[in-house]
Amino acid sequence: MSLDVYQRLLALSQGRAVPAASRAHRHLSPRPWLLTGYHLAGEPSAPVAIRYGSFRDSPKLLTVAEPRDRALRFAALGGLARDLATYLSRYTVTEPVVRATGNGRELDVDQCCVDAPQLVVPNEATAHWVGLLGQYLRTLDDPVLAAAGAHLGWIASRRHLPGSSVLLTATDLLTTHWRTGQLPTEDGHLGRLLAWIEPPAGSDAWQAARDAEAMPPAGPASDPSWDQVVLRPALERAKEQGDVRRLKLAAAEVLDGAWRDTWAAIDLVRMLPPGEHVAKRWESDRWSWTRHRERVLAGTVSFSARLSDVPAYRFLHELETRTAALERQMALDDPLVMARYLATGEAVAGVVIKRDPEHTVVNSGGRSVLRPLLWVRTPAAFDRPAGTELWWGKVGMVVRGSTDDTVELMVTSGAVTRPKLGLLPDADAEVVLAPFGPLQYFPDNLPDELPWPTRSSRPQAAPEPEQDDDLDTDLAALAPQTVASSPDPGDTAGAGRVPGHRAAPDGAVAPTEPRGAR
Amino acid sequence: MDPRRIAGLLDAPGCRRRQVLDAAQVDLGLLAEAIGAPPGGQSPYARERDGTFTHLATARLPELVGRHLGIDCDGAVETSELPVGAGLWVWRSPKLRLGGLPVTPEQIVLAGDGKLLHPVEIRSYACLDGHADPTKVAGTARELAVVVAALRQAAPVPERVSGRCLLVLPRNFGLAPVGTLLDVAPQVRRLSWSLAQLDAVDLPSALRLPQLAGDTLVSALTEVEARFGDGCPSCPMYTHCRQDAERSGTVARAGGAAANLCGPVGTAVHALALAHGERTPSGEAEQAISDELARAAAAYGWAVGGSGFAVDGKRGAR
Repeated sequence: MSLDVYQRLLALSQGRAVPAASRAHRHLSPRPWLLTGYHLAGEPSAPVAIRYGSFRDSPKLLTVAEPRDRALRFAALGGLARDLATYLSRYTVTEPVVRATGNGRELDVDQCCVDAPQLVVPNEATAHWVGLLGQYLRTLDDPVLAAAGAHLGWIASRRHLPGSSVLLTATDLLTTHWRTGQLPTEDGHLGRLLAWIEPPAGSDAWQAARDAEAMPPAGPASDPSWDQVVLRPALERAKEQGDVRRLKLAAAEVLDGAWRDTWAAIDLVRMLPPGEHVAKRWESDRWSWTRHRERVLAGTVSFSARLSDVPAYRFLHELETRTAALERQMALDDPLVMARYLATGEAVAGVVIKRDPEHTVVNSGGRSVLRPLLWVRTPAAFDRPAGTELWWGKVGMVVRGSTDDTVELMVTSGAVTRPKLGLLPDADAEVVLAPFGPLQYFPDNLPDELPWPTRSSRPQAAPEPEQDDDLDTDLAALAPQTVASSPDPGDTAGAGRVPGHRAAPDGAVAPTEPRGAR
Repeated sequence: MDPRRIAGLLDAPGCRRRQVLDAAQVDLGLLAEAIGAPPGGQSPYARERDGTFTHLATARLPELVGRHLGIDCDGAVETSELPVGAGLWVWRSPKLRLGGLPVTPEQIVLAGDGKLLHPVEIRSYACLDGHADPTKVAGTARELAVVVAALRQAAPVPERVSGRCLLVLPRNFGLAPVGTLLDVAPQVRRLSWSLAQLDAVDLPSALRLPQLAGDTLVSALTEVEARFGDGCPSCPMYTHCRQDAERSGTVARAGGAAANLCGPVGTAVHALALAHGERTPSGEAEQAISDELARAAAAYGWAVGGSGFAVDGKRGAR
C-alpha cells in the first residue's frame, strides 16, 4: 500500500520510526504471562533456558543442565507446567451472559469467563516454539505435562486467528503500530525494532539498530558463537560437576535483553488509547477460553495435524470473516488506519458542497422512494466507477458519477425516510466516506450437498505403515542396543491420543463469537 | 563452492555485485574479515544433531529408498564416479562443475533404478506430523537443484539424472527417519536462468586476480553495482551493502515494496520531495509516482494533523 511505503520513506529520512496507528489494536492484559527462552540448536523439544512469569522484576528462570536428558527435561518442564496452571487458575471466574441462540430468535443464558489469560513472547519464532512445546508436551504420559501441552496448544491455535490477543508477539505489537525505514524482514528482530521506535538519546536509529543486532538474539534459537563460547562450557560444567551456577548466570544474562525488550514493547503500546472494538474482539477470546476450559474439564481436548473437509471449510470461513472484520474495525477505530484506504483511493475525504434530500427514484415496484443526493468536493479525483458503495457511519450510498473534484452520491440506506433525514451530513460538513458499512454477517451454513467429495463417501485410505521406533534424542537412546529395545513410549502414546477422524482443532475452529452460535 | 552458496544466487536476482562475488569465486572467509561481518557458522549442537541423524538415517536408507523409489538394495556402496545401473551409492567429495563454477558438496547419495538416478538428501530439521518448515524445505530444494544441474553437466546422458529427489528428515521430535519425494525441476529451471545471467557478467579486471583480500577485495567488489532488496540479509555482503544503502539514502533500504513503488526515483529525499510537492516531476513515470505518494502524504497528514474530517456519523467532526 502506498501509505505504508510513504511511512517507511518518512522513517528512513528521519532516522526514526513513524506511527502507523494512533490506537492500540490489541488487547493488553493487566497481567500478561511473558515467556522468553532458548532451545538447543535444531531441537525445539530440548529447552536450555526459559524465563517466564507475569512480574517484570521477579521472573522465574528455568535451566536444563543436559537438555537431551529426558529426566532433567521433564523435571524442568514440570515446573513450567505447574506455574502455567497456577497462572491460568486465575481466569476461572465466570459470569452469566445472555446470548442469542437458534438463528437469533431465542435468548439463552450462558457462562463466560470474565477474563482470559494472555501470553506475550518476543518474536514470531518464539510464538511458533510455544506451539511446538505444546505439541511435544501432549505426547508425554505425565498428566501435568500433557495438561500444560493442551493449554499451550489452545494458546498457539489462537495465534493464527486475526484479531485474537491470546498469544501476542512483541514484534507484531510494534509493527502493527509503527513503521520503520528498514527491510521488513529486519523488523522481525525485536531489538532493532525498538531501536527504531525509541533510539537511545544521542544516537540515530541506524546506529542503535546495529548496536541492538550485536546483542544476543531474542531466541528461541541462540547465536552459534554464543553456543560455542558460553553455552557449551556452562553446560559441560553443569553436567560434569553438577554446578549449574554458571549456566544460570549465562542464561539470565542472555535472556535479560529479550525479557526487558518484550516489556518495553508492551509499555509502548499501553501508552496508546485502546481502539473501540478491541474489547469486543477480546470477548471472542474470552468465549474461546471458556470453551477450552469446558473441554479440559470434560477431557475432550484434541488437536489434529490436518483438518478434514468440513472443519477446514469452517476454519477458512472463520479466517475470512475475522480478517474482514479486523480490517473494518481497525479502520473505523483509527484515523491512521483509515488513511491507508484514503491513500489507495478506496475511501474518500471531502466537503459536502450540495445536498438534495428530497430526491426520489421510482423503484422496481413502481413506487416512488426517497433517495437523497449528496455532492462532495474532493482534493483529488475519485477514480472508482459509478455504483461503488460507500458508507458514512450507518448511512450507505452509491457513487453516481465523479468529476475531477466532485463525487455525486445517492443515499441508499440509513437515511431514506423522512424522520431519518436528519442523519444526513450537513452542507459544508467535512466527511470521510469509507468502504466499511455496518458489520456484515455471513452465516456459515453448509449447502445440502458438499461440492467436494466428503470423507464418508471416499474409500478409506489404507492406514499408513506405522513406524514405531521413533527415537528420542535422549543420550541413553543413542546407544544402538537401546535403540532397538526401547521404542519411544511418548510418541506412540501421542499417536493414539490424536484421533485422525475427529479433526476438531478446538479453539481454532469452534465457533467462538456469540454471533456464530448455531 | 558448496551447493548452498550457488543456490544463494537465487535469493538476490538482478544484483550484479552478488553475481560477480560468485563468478569470481571470492573466498567468503576473507570477505567477512574484510568487511567486519559478524561470524556465521553452525552451532556445535546443531552439528552434533546433524551428525547423529545422518548416521542413523544412512543405516536406514535402503528401506526408505525401497519404499519411496521402489529400488531394492542392501546398502550404500562407495563410488568415485557417476554410477550406472540400479543400487544405492555414496559419492564422497565429488568434484563437479556447473557452468564455469566448481561444485563441491561433501557427499552425494544417489539411488538408481536402472534408468534414472535420484539424488537422496538427509537433513536434520524435523518433519512434524508430515509438515516440515517450508522455508527450510525451499532452501534444501534450491541446493538439490544445484546438485541435479551439476550432475547433469557431468553425465554423458543428462536426462538420466532425475529431478525427483528423496528428502530424508527426522520424524516428529525423535530421530526416526522419514522420507518424502521432492521434485526440484522448477528450481533447476530457475537456476539455469540465473547461471545464464552469471555467464553474461563481465568480471572487473581487479577481481580476476587470485586471492584478493582486505580493502582491495572490498573496493574491487564495490566497483560493481549492487541492488539492495528483501533477499539481502542472507548475502555475505549484506552488512557492507546495507551501510552503503544507508549512506546514499536509497529507497531500497526500506524494502522491495518501496523500491517497486518508487521505480526510477532512487533516493528517499527525492521521493519525499515529490510527495510533498517540493519538486516538479520530470516525465510521465515520475508524475505517476508523485501522484501516488502525494495522495499517501495527504492521507497521512489528515490522520496525524487531524484536518477535521468525520469518519463516521456518530462521532461528528473531530
